[in-house]
Amino acid sequence: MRRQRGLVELMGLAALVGLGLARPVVAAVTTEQSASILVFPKVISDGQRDTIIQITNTSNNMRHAHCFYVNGALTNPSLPVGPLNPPLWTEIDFDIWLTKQQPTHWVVSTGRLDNPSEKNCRGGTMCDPTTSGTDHADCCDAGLDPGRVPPVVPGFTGELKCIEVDQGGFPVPGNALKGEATLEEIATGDVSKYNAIGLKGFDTNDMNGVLCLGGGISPECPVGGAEYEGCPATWILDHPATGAPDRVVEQQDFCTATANTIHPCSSVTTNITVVPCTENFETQQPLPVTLQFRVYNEYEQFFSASTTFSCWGSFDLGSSDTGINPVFNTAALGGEIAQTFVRSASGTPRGVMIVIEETHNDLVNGLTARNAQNAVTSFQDQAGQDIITIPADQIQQQ
Amino acid sequence: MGQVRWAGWTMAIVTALVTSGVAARADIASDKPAAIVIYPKVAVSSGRVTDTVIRLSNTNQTTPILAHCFYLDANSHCSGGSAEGSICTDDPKVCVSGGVCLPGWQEVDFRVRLTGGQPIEWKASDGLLGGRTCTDTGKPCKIAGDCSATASCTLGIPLTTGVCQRNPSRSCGTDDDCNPFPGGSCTQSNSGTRIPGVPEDRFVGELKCIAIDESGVPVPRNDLKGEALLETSVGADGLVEANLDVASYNAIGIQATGIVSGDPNVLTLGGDPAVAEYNGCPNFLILNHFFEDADDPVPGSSSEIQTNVVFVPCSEDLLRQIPGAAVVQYLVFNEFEQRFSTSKSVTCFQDTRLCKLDTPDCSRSIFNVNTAGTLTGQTRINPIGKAPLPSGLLGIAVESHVNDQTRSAAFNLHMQGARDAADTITIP
Repeated sequence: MRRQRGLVELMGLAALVGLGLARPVVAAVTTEQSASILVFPKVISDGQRDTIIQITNTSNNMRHAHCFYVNGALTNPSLPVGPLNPPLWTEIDFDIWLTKQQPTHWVVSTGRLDNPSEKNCRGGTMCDPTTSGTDHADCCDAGLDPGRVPPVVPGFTGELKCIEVDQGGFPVPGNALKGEATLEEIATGDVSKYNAIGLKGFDTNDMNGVLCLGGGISPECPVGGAEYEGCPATWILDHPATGAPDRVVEQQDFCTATANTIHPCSSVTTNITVVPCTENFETQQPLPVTLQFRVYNEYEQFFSASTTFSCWGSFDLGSSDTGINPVFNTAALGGEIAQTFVRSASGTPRGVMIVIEETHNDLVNGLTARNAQNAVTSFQDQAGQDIITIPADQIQQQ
Repeated sequence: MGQVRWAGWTMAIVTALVTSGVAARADIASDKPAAIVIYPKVAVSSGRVTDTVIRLSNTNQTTPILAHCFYLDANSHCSGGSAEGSICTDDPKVCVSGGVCLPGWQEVDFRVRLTGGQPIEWKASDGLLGGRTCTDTGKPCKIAGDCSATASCTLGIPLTTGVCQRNPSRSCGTDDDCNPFPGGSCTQSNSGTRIPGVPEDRFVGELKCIAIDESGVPVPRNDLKGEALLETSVGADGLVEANLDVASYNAIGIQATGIVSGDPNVLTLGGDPAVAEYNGCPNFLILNHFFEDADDPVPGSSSEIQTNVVFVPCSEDLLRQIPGAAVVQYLVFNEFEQRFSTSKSVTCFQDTRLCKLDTPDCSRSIFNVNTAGTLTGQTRINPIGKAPLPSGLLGIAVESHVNDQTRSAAFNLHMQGARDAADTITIP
C-alpha cells in the first residue's frame, strides 16, 4: 500500500515535471496567434479618426467573449494630463458570441445592432457607410450579429479588451480569438492597422473574476497561479527619431528640385500608446505605472528617459508636452533612427501593452500618412504578476 | 500488481513527455527577436515613386552581430522576342515577337554587421554603400542638422570604422589596428558592411537575413528584429494628384532552437525536434480581411477595400537556386458562418489580390463582397508542399483603401500549428 502511495506520488511528480516544462518559461504575449484575452491598446473615435474592430473565432465551436471599452480621454481634453486633469477611465462592457470560425467587425463610433433584418451584400447591395450600426445598416453590418455592440462616446480615445468566457460568462482558456484594429482618418481615408495583442490562457483558470497574468501562486491566485501568459519584461521598438526625414519623400523630384525651398521637405514622428496589464474594473482605480526608456541611436550611443501614466497613455515621442524627455528628437539623439527598450520601473512592477504609430509628413504637398505596427517583446516575463479584476455580477449575467 | 505499477509509470512518463513535447514546439513569431528575419515584400517601382525602407536591429545591447542577407528577385522576364530581358511581372504582354514571360528567382547576398543595440535603416533602391555625407559638400554627417540648411545628410553606413578607445582620432577595424600605439581596443563598428541596392530598377521580391558568426556559419542567436515600410510618394504634376502612402509590417522572425545538426549551410526549420535548428513553419496562416471591393463602413468614408496577400516559401535552396513550392488550400468563412474554398500553387513568391487567387475576374471571385455577402471574412491558408522543394509558407497582407488615392496598411498574418515536415534553407 505504501509502495502504491509512493508510486502515485512519483507519477504525479513526473506529470508535474511535464507540466512544468509545458508552462512557458518565456513571455508569450502574441500578436499572431489565437488567444483568450485580446487587447486593442489604441482605439480612437474623436471625430477626426475612427476605428474598425475585427474579431474572429478561429475554433470550430461557438465562442463567447466579454469586452470592455476603457475611455482614457482626459477629463478636459484641451488641457495637459495632471493630477487635476486625470484620464476619465470610464468603462462600458458588452458580450459577443461568435459561431465556429466566424469573423465579425464593427465601427467603434457606431457600434453594431443585433438586427436580423439586415440585408446581405449579394445582388449588388452596397454598404452605405452612413448606415453602419443603425437599424437600416443593410450590407454594412451583414452577417450573424455578434450581439449588441454599443457605440463609444464622442471623443473616445482608449482601449478595447475582450476576454473569452463560457456560455455562463465565466472566463475560460479557449485560446480561440484573434483580432485587428484599423485606424482611419475620416477626411483623407488614411489607414493604419495593427494586430490585437493576445494573452493565451492556461488550464489553471479557476473561472472567477480575478484573472492572473503570469507569476506564481499568490493571494489573488491561490489555486494554480498564472491563468494567462504574463506580460513581457521589455518591449523593443524601432522607430525614427522625431523630426527625421522620410527617405522616400526626400528622393522625389518635387523635393530635390532647385525650385523647392522647403528643406528638409519631410518629417516623421512616432507615437506610442500604452495600457497597463493590471486593470481593476471593480474599483475603477487605475494605478500609475512608470515607464523606463533606454534609447540607442545608430552611432552606438544610448540615452534614457522615463514617464508615468495611468489607465491609458498616448505619447508623441520627442514632444515636450507629453512628459517624455526630448531625447527622441534628432538633434538630441544625434541620429535619425532609434531602438528603444521600454519597461516598467522596478517600483511599479506592472506590465504594459504597447502599439506604435508613425506619422510621415510630406511638407511640400502638405500630406500626412500614418502606419501602425506591433512592437517586439523580450523573451522574459515581467517580474510581478498582473491582475485583471472583473466585477462578479458581470461574469454571471448571461 | 506489477502490471499496474508499470502501467502507472508508463502513464506518468507519457504524460510528462507529451506535455513537455508541447512546450518544446515553439512557433515562428514576428513579435520576438530571432536568428532569421524575413521581409516577405520588398518593392521598388520604376522612378522610385514606390520604395521600401528596411530596418534591421540588434536587440542584444552589448554584443555585435553579423548577418548574412539575401535579396530574392522575383521579377519575371521576357525570354526571346524583341523584348528579351524586359521585366514582365505585371504584364506578360510586354513580351512581343514570340517572347514568353518566364518567372524568375535570383538571389543577391551581402553581409551586415550591427553593433550592440544598434538599429540601421536603408532604402531598398539604394542600399548603404558608404558613410553618411552632406548632399552639397560631401562632408561626413550624422543628421541633417550637421549640413547646411539647404542640404540633407545622405543615408549611409553609420559607423564605417571603429576608433581606438585610447585614441579616438585613430580609425580601426580590429583591436590589432590600435596596437602598439597607444594600445587598447577598437570600438564596435559596422566595418565589413556594404548593402547593395536591389538588383533591378523595378523590383519585387523578398529579403532574408540570417545571424552568422565571423566565419559565415549560422549561429543560434535570437537577436535580430526588423520592419519594412512600403512607401509611395507622388508629387502633383497637373494630371496626377499628390499622394503619400505608408504601410509597414514586422519582419517575420524564425527563432533558433539552439540545436546544431547536419551541414552548417543547411538550416533545418522544424520537423524532428531532435534535429530542428530553428522553429518550424506554421500549418495554417490565418487572415482576417475585408472581402474584395467592400465599401469602407466608416461613416464619412467613400473608399473600397482591396487586400493583397504576399507569400514566400519557408524552404529555399539558395545554392542551387531552387525555390520552395506549395499547393495552397484556402478555406474562406464569411460572417454568416458559410464556407467557401479554393486552391492555388505558390512557387518562390506570390503577391496578388485575394480575388485573383481563384479567378481572373474579380467580380466572380469567392473573395468578392457580392459573392461572400458580408463585409469581412476569415481565410485559413494551408500550404501543402510540392516538388521540387516542398515547403511551408510565410506571409503578410496589405489592405488598400481605394478612392481617388490609395491608402494602405500592412499587417502580419496569424499562424497556427507547426508543420510535421521540416523545411530547409540551403545557403551557398
